[in-house]
Formats: sequence, C-alpha cells, structure tokens
Amino acid sequence: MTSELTQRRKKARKHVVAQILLACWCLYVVNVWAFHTSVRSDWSSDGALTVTEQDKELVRSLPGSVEVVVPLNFGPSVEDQLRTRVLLKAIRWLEELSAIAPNRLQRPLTIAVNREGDKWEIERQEYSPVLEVGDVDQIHFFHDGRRLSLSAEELADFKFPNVLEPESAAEILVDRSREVVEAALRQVVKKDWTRVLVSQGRGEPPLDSRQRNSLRLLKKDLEIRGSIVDPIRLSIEESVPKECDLLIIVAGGEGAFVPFRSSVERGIERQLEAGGGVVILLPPVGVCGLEGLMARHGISVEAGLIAENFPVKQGVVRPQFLGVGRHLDPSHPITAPLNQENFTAGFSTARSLLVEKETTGLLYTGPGAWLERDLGAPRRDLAEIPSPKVLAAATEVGEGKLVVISSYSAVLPDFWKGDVRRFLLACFDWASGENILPPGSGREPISHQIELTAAFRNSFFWTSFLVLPISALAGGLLVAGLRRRGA
Amino acid sequence: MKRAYFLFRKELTSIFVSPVAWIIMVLFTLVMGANLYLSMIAVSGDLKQLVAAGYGGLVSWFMLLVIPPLITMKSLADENRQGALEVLMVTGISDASVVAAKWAAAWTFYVILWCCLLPLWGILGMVGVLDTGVLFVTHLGLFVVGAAYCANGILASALTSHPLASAGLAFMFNVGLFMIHWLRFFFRPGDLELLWVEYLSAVHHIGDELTQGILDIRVFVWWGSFTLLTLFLSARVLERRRW
Repeated sequence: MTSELTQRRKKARKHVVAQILLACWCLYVVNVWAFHTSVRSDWSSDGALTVTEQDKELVRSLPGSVEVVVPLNFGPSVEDQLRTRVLLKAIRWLEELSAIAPNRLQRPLTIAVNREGDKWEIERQEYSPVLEVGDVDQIHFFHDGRRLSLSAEELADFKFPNVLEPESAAEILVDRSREVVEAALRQVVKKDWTRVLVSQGRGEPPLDSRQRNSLRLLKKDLEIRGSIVDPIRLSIEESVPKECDLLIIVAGGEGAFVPFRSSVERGIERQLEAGGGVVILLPPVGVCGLEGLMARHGISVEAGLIAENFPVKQGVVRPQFLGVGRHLDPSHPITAPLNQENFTAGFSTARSLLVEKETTGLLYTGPGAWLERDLGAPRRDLAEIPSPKVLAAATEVGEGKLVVISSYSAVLPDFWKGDVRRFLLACFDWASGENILPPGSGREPISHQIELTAAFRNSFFWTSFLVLPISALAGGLLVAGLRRRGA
Repeated sequence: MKRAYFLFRKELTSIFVSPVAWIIMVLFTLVMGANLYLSMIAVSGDLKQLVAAGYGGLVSWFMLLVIPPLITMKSLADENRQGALEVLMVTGISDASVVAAKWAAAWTFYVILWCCLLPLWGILGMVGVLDTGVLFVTHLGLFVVGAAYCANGILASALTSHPLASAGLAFMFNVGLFMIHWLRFFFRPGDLELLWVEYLSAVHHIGDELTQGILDIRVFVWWGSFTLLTLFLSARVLERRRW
C-alpha cells in the first residue's frame, strides 16, 4: 500500500514538473511571438506620438542602421528647461520611430552630461573625433560615417524674455520636432551630398578660423546637414565648378572687401544659368562688384544703412544701425514654412533692398525702420520717413536661384543663431535646390496647464490630504460598526 | 464556475470586512493623494506631465510593489495556518478555482484602490483639460501590472503558512520583476538584449509608454501570460497537498 502511494506520488511529481515545463514553454513561445509583433496605438489627445504609414515607410526604408546620441546638460534656467523639454520630446518621438524597426533606427542613447560625465567621455571616445565636448543639448544622428546634429532651436520656436519684452514668459510657440526629426533621418542617409562653395580671398571672413570674425559656425552647420563645404577663390578661378549646388558670397569682412571683376560676375551668371544657386550677403558699405548682376535680376541696393529706435537701459530709446526682420513673405517656399508670428531676425549694419516685380521680398523690417545716410551716428531726420525695409530678396533665374541678403554680419559666429540662422538655412536650402532641412509647419503645443491659484491649491490640498483618507476611514468605521451590530 | 464565483464574492467580502484592508486604503489614499498634490506643484499644473509624474514616480512604484503583497498575504497563508484550506478543498472546488477566486478578489480590491484616486482627477478635470486617453491607458497599465503582482502575492501565500512571510516573499518577487529594468545599463541601444529588457520591464511600460498615452499590445501579452503562469504555479502548489 505504502509503495503504491509512493509510486503515485512519484508519478504525480513527474506530471507536475512536465506541466510546469510545458507552461513555461507556452509563456516563452507566446512572448517571443509578441516580441516580434508590436501593435501600438497612441491614445493621447494631441496624437504627438501617433505613427503614420509614412513614418513606418520612412524608418523601414532607412539603408543600414542609424545611431542616435543625445547628450543633455539639464541646465537650470527657464530657457534650458524649455530646450530640454523639446529635446526630450524629440527623443520620445525617436524611440517611437525606433520601435518600428529597431535594426534600422536604434533607440537614442541619452546621456545626462552633468550627472554622467564619465559616460559622456566614453561615448565621445566611441564617436571621436566627431563629437566635441561642447556638443551637448543636441541630437546627433550617425550613419555610415556621416553625422547630422539638431539643436532645440531647430525643433521648435521659442519665445524668451528679451530686451524688448523683458517681462514676457518663456514658452514654446511652435513644436516641429516630428517633422525635423524625420527630415534629419532622410538627410543623414542621403547619398548625394550638397556641394557648397564659399567665396574666399577678397577680404571675406575666413572659413575655418577660430577667431570671432569667421564663418566656422556656418560651415559646421552646413556640414552636419550633409553638405560638403569648400572655399573657392573666385578672383583666381573666375568660374564656378559644375558640381557646385550652392555658391555663397560673403561680401564683407575685416578691412576692405575687394569688389569682384566683371569676369567673376559672368562666372556667377553662368552658375545661375546652369541651374545652380547663389546667395549674396552684402557688405555694409561700398560695392561688391555684383550690383549689375543683381540689378539685371530685379534687385538693387539703396545707399545708407537701416536704422531703428530700440529701447536701451531704463526705458531710454536710442537709434541703432540694426535691421530687425519681423515680417516674412507668407507665400514664398523659403519663408512659408517658417513661423510667421513673433519672427525676429536681427541684422547688424543692414542695407535696404529694392525689388522689382519678378523678384520677391522675403523679409521686411517693421514700420519704424528708416534708411540712415549719415553713417557716423544714426539719427532720424524729418526727411527720413520710416517704412518697412526689405532685408532679403529672392528670384529665380531660369533653373537657377538667386538670394540676396542685406547684411553679411548674420553669418558671423556672434550673430549665427535664432531666427536669423533659421532664415538663412532656409535660404540656402532653397537656393541649393536641396531639401537640406525643411523646417516644416509644426504645431502649437496643446496646453494642459491649469492655473494654480491659491484657492485651487488649498482645495486640492485638503481633498488629497484629508477628504479622501477620511472618507476611507469613515468607510472602514461604518463597516466595523455594521459588523458589530450584526454580531 | 458558480462555486468559484461564490468564493470570489466571499473573498471580496472578507477583504472589505477586514480592518487591514481599510487601513491599507487610508494609507494608500493619503500617500498617493499627497504624491499627486506635490507632483502637481512640481509640474506647475501641467496635467499631461502630471500623469507621468504622479504615476511614474518612486512613490507610485513603492505602492505598486508593497500593496499587492499586503492584500494577498492572508489569502492562502492564513487559511493554511488555521486549517481552513483543507475544509475548502473537501467541498469539491478545484485548486484552480480557489486560486482564481482569491486572486480575482485581491485584484478587484487593488483596482478599487487606484479608482479611489479618480475624484482627484475629476477635480483637476473641472479646472483644466484632462488628457483622458492618457489617463485611461495609464490606469489600464497599472491594473495589468498589478494583476501580475497580485498573482505573485497569491503564489507566495500558497508557498507559506505565515502571512508576514508571504508578504515578504511576494515583495521579493515583485522587487525582482521591478529590478529587471536596471539590466538595461548593461546593454547599448541597438542590442537585442536591451529590447528584451524593455519588453519585460514594468518601469519601461508605465514610465515610457503608458503614461505617454502609448498602448502596446505586448504589455498585455507579457503581463497577462505571466499572471496566468504564476496562478498556474500557485494551483500546482496547492495541489501538492493532495499527493
């Protein structure tokens, strides 16, 4: 009898072990299937993480693997916090895209630089020498030895307190993180690089110098967008190479700028006729030698500099040689995608352009600007009537594209930021005929913010700390009382 | 099935007449209410961020890990200690039904606990725009993850005959599941292992997906299948008595 029981127990044990193994195997099979079968849906009201069919197509069509590294500094200021919020949102969107095909787009590697300094150093070594110490608060995409970086300013339009509006609150005006991230993915895997040539050798700011008066930030920005940027000595070469997509002429710099000869002008004309792009950034004074070419295409330059009254300390208003572009042409391909409201692009020592019918004025100052002909000190005379001035103009020359910017100073490191930088990048995009980084229309973030008035905070405090726990306690006491009565 | 339903009702009633359950409810509403209030101040009244801050923070995780063991600690362990389990077994009800009924009762109480916080969200909804989709999905995730944690509690309760030992064991199981998330530091983005860690990680599911409004069917598959396996193991542990 005992041995029969022992036998049965042994048998039962074997059965149980087999059942448990089978159950574990079922769990494994089901989860392996689920691991490879992701069905996701976005239930948020703004649909910020909703993946469309186009998104899926984009990620699945990526050739090879795209790596993403995001070093974040988590600065304490309100501006830093807003930037970090936008970057985190973009990271979240990248994670969502990565879930479509993790082997095509890797999950972003996020590093909190001010907390994980060692990790940042290790990662920098991994991607060295591409990533520099200062490359924080940017999203870096890597693919096949190429790199593309996005800063928070490219992902969203911000409004920060400034000299003109010191009391205004910092806020995100338009969030374009989705569009810009997708554009960056397209760009980083693109095989054909945009060839950009920058004129040098006639007094222009140097391309690679570390000094303040250089074009290094412009060059870096274009390179990380998948462009090859090289200098060109137009005075020697006189013609533009065929493979050039965009020629940038920075007609100004330290000392006197030497105007171009007519042979160079003919070379530039041929570049336009061949379908290339040309962007001319004007010097503050004098001529650049390309006035004839610009005039033939409906753009002329007025004598004098744009001046405007600006508040300085303690409410004092003083005229300055500064052209602040506030109004954009809403229909032109360069300016239509840019945020039309609160656009503020300041150009130091800017000329005023006159445009003819075929040419489009892209950027205008406010109505308070005037043309100051006395270059010693800006002071508005009665004869100088304020009116909106044209700061940038664009025209199509057959297949080619010409953009004229009224001040070269915008491409110098001190001014290469904010709306100016975004506007100029959009100009370069259009002129080169490449969609280097379409800014996208973006969307205004839906606010779920509530006003934390003292009355509301008080009522919520008492409800959360007292009303709910006391209700639970009362429920318990009631049940205890009922039980006692029942007993 | 009918017997299992009656047992479920009996279990739920016994939970609600127990002072421990009410003490848990008072503590839960107090701690989570305070947590929501402080989170609201921290996110300056941004209701969308509040879901992530309120339900993805340490306090919520502490509650998620501690509450299920406290609810389930007496389910089988206490009955086993008092000898009531043998009486239950001879009524003809199957082990699986006993386990399922006790788990369902514990889980229902757990769901009710989280629903106790809904009045606070109601108040917030009256003064601002609530993202109800995100809130719904987050709660769904808390319930699904909680189902697995309650199942761990039932298994621990079946393994011991001391409620406190059961609670301790269940807490260890839950912490073990919770700690899976930290394995991600051993891997780099792009590693398959990292994707598996995220697949198994409750912190990833709640913090990175559900509180952002993303509902992935894999969350249900993993936690659902894990719950079933744990309940199956609990039933087998109970069955041990019959050998």
